[in-house]
This record gives sequence, structure tokens and C-alpha cells, in this order.
Amino acid sequence: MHFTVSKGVLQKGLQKVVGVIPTKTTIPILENVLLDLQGEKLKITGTDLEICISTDISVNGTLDGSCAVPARSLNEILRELPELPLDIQLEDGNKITIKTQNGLYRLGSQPKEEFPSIVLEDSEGQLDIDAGLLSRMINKTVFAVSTDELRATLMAVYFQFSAEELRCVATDGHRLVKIINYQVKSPDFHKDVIVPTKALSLILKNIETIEDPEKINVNLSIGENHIIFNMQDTLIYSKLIEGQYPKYENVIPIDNDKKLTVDKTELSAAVRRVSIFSNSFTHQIRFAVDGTKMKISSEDVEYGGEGNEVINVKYDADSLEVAYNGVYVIDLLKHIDTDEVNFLLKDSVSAAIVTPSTQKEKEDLMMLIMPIRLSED
Amino acid sequence: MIIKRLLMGLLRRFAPRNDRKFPKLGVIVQTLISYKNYSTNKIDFRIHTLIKNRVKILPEDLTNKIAAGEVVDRPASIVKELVENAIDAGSDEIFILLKNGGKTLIQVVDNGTGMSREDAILAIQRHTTSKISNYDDLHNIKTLGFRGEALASIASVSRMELKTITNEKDAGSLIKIEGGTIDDVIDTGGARGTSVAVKNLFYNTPARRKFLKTDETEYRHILSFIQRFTLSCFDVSFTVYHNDQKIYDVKPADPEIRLVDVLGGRYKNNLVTVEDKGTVLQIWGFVGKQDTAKKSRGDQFLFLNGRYIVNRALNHAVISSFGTIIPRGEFPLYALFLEIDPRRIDVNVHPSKMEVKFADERLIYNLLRAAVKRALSSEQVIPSLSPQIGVTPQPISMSKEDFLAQQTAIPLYETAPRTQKFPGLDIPQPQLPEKKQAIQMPPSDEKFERANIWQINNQYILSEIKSGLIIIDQHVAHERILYEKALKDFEISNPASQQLLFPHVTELTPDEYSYLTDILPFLEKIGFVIKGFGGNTVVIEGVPSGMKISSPETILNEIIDEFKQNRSSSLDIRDNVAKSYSCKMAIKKGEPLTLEEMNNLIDQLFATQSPYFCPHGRPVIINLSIEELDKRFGRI
Ligand SMILES: Nc1ncnc2c1ncn2[C@@H]1O[C@H](COP(=O)(O)OP(=O)(O)OP(=O)(O)O)[C@@H](O)[C@H]1O
Ligand SMILES: [Mg+2]
Repeated sequence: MHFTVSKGVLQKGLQKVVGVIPTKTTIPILENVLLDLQGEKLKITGTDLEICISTDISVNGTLDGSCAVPARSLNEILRELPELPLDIQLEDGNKITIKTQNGLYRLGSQPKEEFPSIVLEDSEGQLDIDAGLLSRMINKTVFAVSTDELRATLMAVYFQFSAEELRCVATDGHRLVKIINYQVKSPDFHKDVIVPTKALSLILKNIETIEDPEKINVNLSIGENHIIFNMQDTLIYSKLIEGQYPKYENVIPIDNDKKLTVDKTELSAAVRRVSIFSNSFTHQIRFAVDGTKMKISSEDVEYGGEGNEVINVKYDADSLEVAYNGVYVIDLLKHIDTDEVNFLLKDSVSAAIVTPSTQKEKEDLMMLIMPIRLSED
Repeated sequence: MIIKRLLMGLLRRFAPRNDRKFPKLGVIVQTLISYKNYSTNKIDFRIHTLIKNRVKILPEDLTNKIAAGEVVDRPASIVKELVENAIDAGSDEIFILLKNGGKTLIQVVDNGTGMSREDAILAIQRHTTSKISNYDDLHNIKTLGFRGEALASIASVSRMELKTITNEKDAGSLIKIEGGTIDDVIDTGGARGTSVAVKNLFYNTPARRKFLKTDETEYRHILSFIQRFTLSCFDVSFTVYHNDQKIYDVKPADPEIRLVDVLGGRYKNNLVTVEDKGTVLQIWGFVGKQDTAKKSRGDQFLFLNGRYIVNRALNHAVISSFGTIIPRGEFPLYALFLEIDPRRIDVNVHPSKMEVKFADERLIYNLLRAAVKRALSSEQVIPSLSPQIGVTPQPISMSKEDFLAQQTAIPLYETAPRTQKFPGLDIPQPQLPEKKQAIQMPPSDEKFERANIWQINNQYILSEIKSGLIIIDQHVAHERILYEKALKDFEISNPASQQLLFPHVTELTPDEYSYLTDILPFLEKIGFVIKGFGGNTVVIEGVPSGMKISSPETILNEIIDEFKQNRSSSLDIRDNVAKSYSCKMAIKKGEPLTLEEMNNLIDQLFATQSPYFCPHGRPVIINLSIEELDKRFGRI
């Protein structure tokens, strides 16, 4: 393997891959990236066995070949180098040299065969979606996933592909987000898959580097046990999480008839302030709605802090008092794009439905939040 | 002798140039003489009322400056406002009658000055008061009331009967008001004083009525307000009836006797007197000795110029002066009275009138802390004060004068008034930044410095402290935290329970089910919501909030199991549930923790009562001192 490439190009390519490299691993080979040169194309691949990312960059190749090199060392030397042409060559099959005008660096390498290879099964369906839209769907859901390692199915976003729509759902058991896009249709296949959070955040990171994501197409290909996101020169493969996603449709309430409309910015600012005084364990804050006013309050019985604010709201049902985890409320509000936000409430122990005051075209965004049962007093 | 001197001083202060303008001078002197001042340096600020007892409408620019907001939100706040009025009127006998937690009736009867008919009619309008009349008065408040708000607010949400008589020989007035409008005014007779009866609270605002809690809860809130008055007005007798039962009957008494009378015999002979008479700030009162400290708050009272106030920083000043003689999580009694020139404080902060801003809170903090510390050490409650902690009395009393000399030059209210009027919107402006400052200000007691912290084998937390090194077992540490929390939760009515979006259904064995029925009431207190689902199946609908629970059903099973096993060991059921719960819920060994999680764990651990041992008696922390290390390395 022998090629020359500008430092910037190689670094940019490596950046896309390095995020998947596990920080703590018992399998040392996973700390490497695989470099694979064919003609003028260098493929850089990294994996943690669950997820695999590879990206292609253009180089001046002189001799095809491949090897695995330590990702972090490579990344570090690239960071320290100025923008220069690099001459990279595999020597004796167990090290690579990086030559610059006046420098020479050597890194131990391992043969390609040591690097885990991924066997792709057949894809069952394909779908194109623009990168901007995909990143929106992921962003709007991924914040609500569970962080509990023991509940793998919830550490993920549920993708439901159908002839009518694409639907993404995330929940941690205390709150839930559902976003539907009616533009993205998969007429030929109907499939529900659970995609792990780590893969999704890597996709988001990759889309962030794209200048005009709306103009870039991402091809999704879904198999029995995997999903592949293919965009520009990068391919992200992820195993799907096995298991049953909770039957979330059953818990979306249909009889929440108390509608509360609030200015989002005002509410969010008030909740942030009041939350400072909530119990740092439960983050409990209270909403007391009565007519056109809502009192937001918190109290930390153990440490004696308390705070409250009153804001104007639109509400015409019976007065209601309900408590939530303030962190969840702030999270939800962050993902509302409209100036006003609607809460559909029932009582102080049932889920509230939170929606933007108007839906984006061809889209339906809905969030659920479970209250903290109010203590008497 | 002292009283006489005091009176002379007061008379000079309010000396009338013209007797016609102050016809009540006789009353003042009378009232003053009848006041037995138990503390010689206690100035009675309520004289003010007696001098210009004419109710006037406040000018609009002044009402705009008064901290506006909800004055009456529950029966307790009504009781508070009415008793304040009675006290401001110079009463020394106050009767309080309550029915159904105050929801059906609140009546406060006093023997104060009473009001003329014109005054009484005016007094129930908004923004009418006899207690202040101009902007300067607002910054020199000597009475408990000053907004001219209370009667109007109460009248507007109830059916009210106001009976008031200024003089036994003259006809008094009985005014009936419904939802704020006067229905009837008739002549009446009787002894001097005022009676305000508030019936059918919130009868015309059903939404607010709904926010009222059970009679019992409302009644408890009222009691805590009444308790505060009995502790600050030693020269007033209080008689309280609830649903025709006499609950309080306290006669004028020496402060110490009154305190024991109201708060309980445990404090008898267990109080330490605090006294510090500075020129501007005077502190007197009592703190309880360490053995009387309770595991719950409630017996902490701070009064400023006769007004009960809530102030985090000052509370900290008192509590922290106890140092380590009282374990964390226990709270000593204190009833402390601060007297300060009203021009150096601002009461007009919050509509509840319980928050006060000081010209220099830090100074007050230091003085208070020093005074309490001195009292404790002179009573030998604290064996010896380590010199580096806190303020030593000597330098403070010197710098205090210097400080105040400087301060007098700086007017307190130079800055714009902090309550602004928004068109059509009366919302108290949040005072968040200041509050936050108050929280951060007092340096906490002994804190572990945690610059460096590591997790070893996903099991132990290692951290550097001043004297060396501590090693914490993460599981037992968390167990201790949860155990104490559970015991605390058993005491409160209904704790926070995070409701689950997906209820978990689980089938138990008949055996497990029967144990569950035993411990369910306790689990509910911790925050579980568990319901029967037919047979031995239950559904878990809520879990303790703030907990990471992957599988509620597994946890439930484990808790039941553990409980079963511990059953034989003659544990009290509470203790058993708390132990089983904490053991099963605590983070396990092998769980990796983030830096933040480790820090939180250590913080919470040191907030427990006995951080050094887990509920089963195993050690939680091992201390390795530098000395020990030195020894092992053969340095010493
Ligand atoms: N029990 C009473 N005896 C004599 N006068 C009273 C009594 N209660 C009220 N008043 C008179 O009625 C006026 C209005 O009372 P109200 O409680 O509404 O206002 P305030 O006490 O002046 O201020 P605040 O709203 O802060 O309590 C008082 O200023 C006082 O002159
Ligand atoms: Mg009043």
C-alpha cells in the first residue's frame, strides 16, 4: 500500500470514522482503523462490532494494499501536522511510514485479516431520504431515549417504515416522542426496526459536517438484522436491536380534554429558573393552572430551597395541579419549534400530550410526559 | 426602672408638638405600661399605629411600589393577616375560632384599639391603611401590616362580618360584607376591640376552593402560623378553638416559659440564652441544646422586629454555629429575635411579608453566627471552638462598629424600587439571582475536597481529601443513602412517585403476594404505586422518582425476597422494608460510574446521619491518612 494525500483530506476522512472507535475495549484490534487502498480510492473503516463506519477519500495511489493502524495515534499526528502533502506507505507488512517534506513517522500496523469484517445479509428494502429531514427526525427523538444499559430496546429509536409514512419513536418509560413524516414513504416494504442511539448520534455527527443537508440524499437499506445509512462517500452500518418495542400506541391518551396553551420561551425560561430550587434528586416542579394564570413552583424540602413564578396561559378547563420532572419539561420544550406549545392534560397522574401549536407541513410531532404523582400538602 | 427609661425615650421620639393632633397619647402610654417587656432591649414598634390611626387611601404611585401578589391563598394566610392586624392594633388578648380547617369559619377577636365606622368601611377597600402614608414610611415599617391589602383581599373571596368598637360607651359598628361589597352596617355594642369573621372561604371562586387541601392539612398550616405568633408576642394571650375544641390557651408569660409551653416539655431546662446587644442590631432569644435536636425541621424561628421571617442564609448562620455537635439531618430548636432599625431592612419584597432584605446580609449573618456560637460555648455546649472555624467574637465586635459607621453613609434605597408595575399584570418579580447568592454565600461546614476522584474495579471510589485518602464502597454507600431516605419517606404523607408510561404487570406467588400486602403501605411511602390486577398479579404504575429503575418488577421481587429473609431477624417492619429496599435498589458493584455520579454519591453520603456504616453495619468508608502512608513507606 502506497499513496500520497493532503493532510486535510485524510484528517477529514478519519474524523468521520473515529467516533465509533470504542474508548474502553477488551479487543485491541478495535482501537484501529482499517485503511484499504484501491486505485485512487482509500477506504477508512472503524467499528465497535455493533456499528461500522467507512468513508472513501480520494488519494494518489501508487500501490494497492491495506492494513489496520491505531486510530488515536494517527488522529493525533494528523492534528499536529500543518497542511502538507503526506506520503504514506506500508513497510514490511507490519508498520506504516508517514513522510512529510522534513519528517518521518512510523506506526505499528496489523494485517487486514486481523480486522473484523462485517458480513452483510441481504437487504429487504431501500429508501431515500434527504439528510436534513433524517437529521430532523433523529434530533427530535433521540433526546428521549433511555440511558439504562439494561433496557437495550429503549436505548434506541424505533423506526417504522410503511407505504404512508416514516415514523420515529423514542421513550424512556417516563416520556415519549413520536414524529411522523408523511413525505417519506416506502411503498414496497413495511418494517419496524430498533436502531441503537450510538449509531444515530454518529449519523447526526456526519450530517453536521455536510453543508447543505437538504440537498444530500441518504440511502437507507434495511435487512433482517441491520440497517445501513449511505450518504455521499460514507456508509454507516448498524446492527438492529433485537426485541419487542413497547406497544406505545396503547399509552397515548385519547381523552385528554384540558387544553393549555403557553408561550414556549416564557415557559421554558420560567421552568429553568424554578428548577434551580427543585430537589436535585427528583427535579420535581409543579404546574398549577387556574384560568389564565399558571403558577410554576418547586420546593426542596430537604435543603429548604423554593421558587415560584406565575405566567399567563390560555386555558379554560377546571383548575389543575400537576408535577413533572423539570429536566424532562425543559427537554421537551427544546424540541418545539413554534412560539406556542400545547399541553393536553387530563389529571395529575396521567400522561400529558405536548405538541407544537401548529404542525410543520407533512409532519406530526407529539410528545408524552408522565407526571410525578403529587404529594398531598 | 428600665421600662420607665424606655418609655421616656419613646415618648421623646414621638413627642407631640400639639396635643390635639395626637389625642391618643394617653392610650399609648397606657398600652406601653401594660406591656411587660421581658427583654429590656426590645423596642415595641407597634406604637406607630396608635399614633396615627386614620385609615387612608394610598396614593397610586405608592401602591405601585408595594410588592403585589396573592395575599390570601389558603385559610392559614387569612389567620396570619387577621392576627397581624390584631397585634398591630395593640391587643393583648386574641381569640381565634376555626371550623373545618378554616374553610367554613375563621374568626379573630381582639381587644385592640378598634376602628371608627368610617375607618372600618374604608379599611375593607383595597390600598387603604393607617400604617403607612408616604414613600418614606415604606422604608421605615414598624408594623406587621403595611400594604393595605389584607382585609380587602379576604373580603373579596368570602362572606365577612367585621365588628369593631373603639370605646365601650359609644356605639360600635357591625359591617356585613359579601364578596367584597358591603351588605349592611348596623350599630352594635360591647367591649373595645375588633372581631373579624370570615365564612365560606372562596365561595365565589370555585377554582381556588379546589386548591384547598384536606381540613386536616389546612388546620396544620394554620397551627404553624399561630405557633409563630405565640412565640413572638409573649405579652399577648392566645385562645384558639377548632371545631369547638380548645387547642391553645396561652397566657402572657416569660419567653422561656411560653416557649416550653408551646413547643413542648423537651425544651425545659434545655435552652441556651442568646444575647448580643449591639448598637444597631440586637439579638436575643434561645437555642436548644444538642440533645433536643429533632430529625425534622419545624422548631426553627427567626423573628425580625417582631415579624416571623424566612431566610436561608440566617438559618444557616444559626445551624452552622452548632458545628459538628449536631449531626447533619438533625435540626436544633431556635427562637431568635433580631431587632434592627427598620430603615436598614426592606420588608416590601414579597406579598407574604415573610421575606426581608437587609442592607448587609453578610454582616447580619456574621453577627448572628458569632452570637449563637458565643452562647453555645459559654454554656459549654461545644467543648472548645476550633479557632479556624467561624468568626471569633472579639474582632467582630470591633469591626462591626467600623463597618456600621461606614454603612450609615450609604442610603439603602438609592436603587430603583424592585417591584415594577406591568400593565394589567400583578406578578411578584422573581428574586432569583439574589436567592441563589444567599444559597452560595455561607461556606459549608467541612467539605471534602474532591479535585481527584477515581473508580476502581467499578466497585470502589477513591478520593483525595485534606488529610489523605478515602476509599468508598459504592454499593454500601448508596445503600446508606437510600436507607435513610426511605426512613424519612415513611414519615411524610405521599412522596414523589414518577408515573410510568408503560405500567409493568407482574405475577407473584401467593406467598410473595401476602408479603407484599404487608409491606405495600411502606413501599407506597417510598414512591411505588402498585395495584392489584386480579389473583396474585399486580401492576406497577409508579416508582420512586429520581431513581434509575430498569425493571420495576424485578426490583419488586427482590425486595419481597429480601424482606422475607430478614423477617426472622426480629427487625421492625419499617427497618426491614428500608433495608430490603436500599439493598436492592443501590447501585451494584461492577457498575461503572461517571465522575458526576461519583461526586453526587459522595455528596449524598455525607449528607446522611451515619455515613461511615451501611444499614447492616458494614463499613462504607476507609480512611487512609498521609501519616499512615508515611508510616508504611518507612518515613516515620
Ligand atoms: N383588628 C384591627 N383593629 C384595629 N384596626 C384594624 C384591625 N384590622 C384592620 N384594621 C385597620 O384596617 C386597616 C386595613 O387593614 P389591612 O389588613 O387590610 O391592611 P394593613 O394591615 O394596613 O396592611 P396589610 O395588607 O399589609 O395587612 C389597617 O391599616 C388598620 O388601620
Ligand atoms: Mg393587615
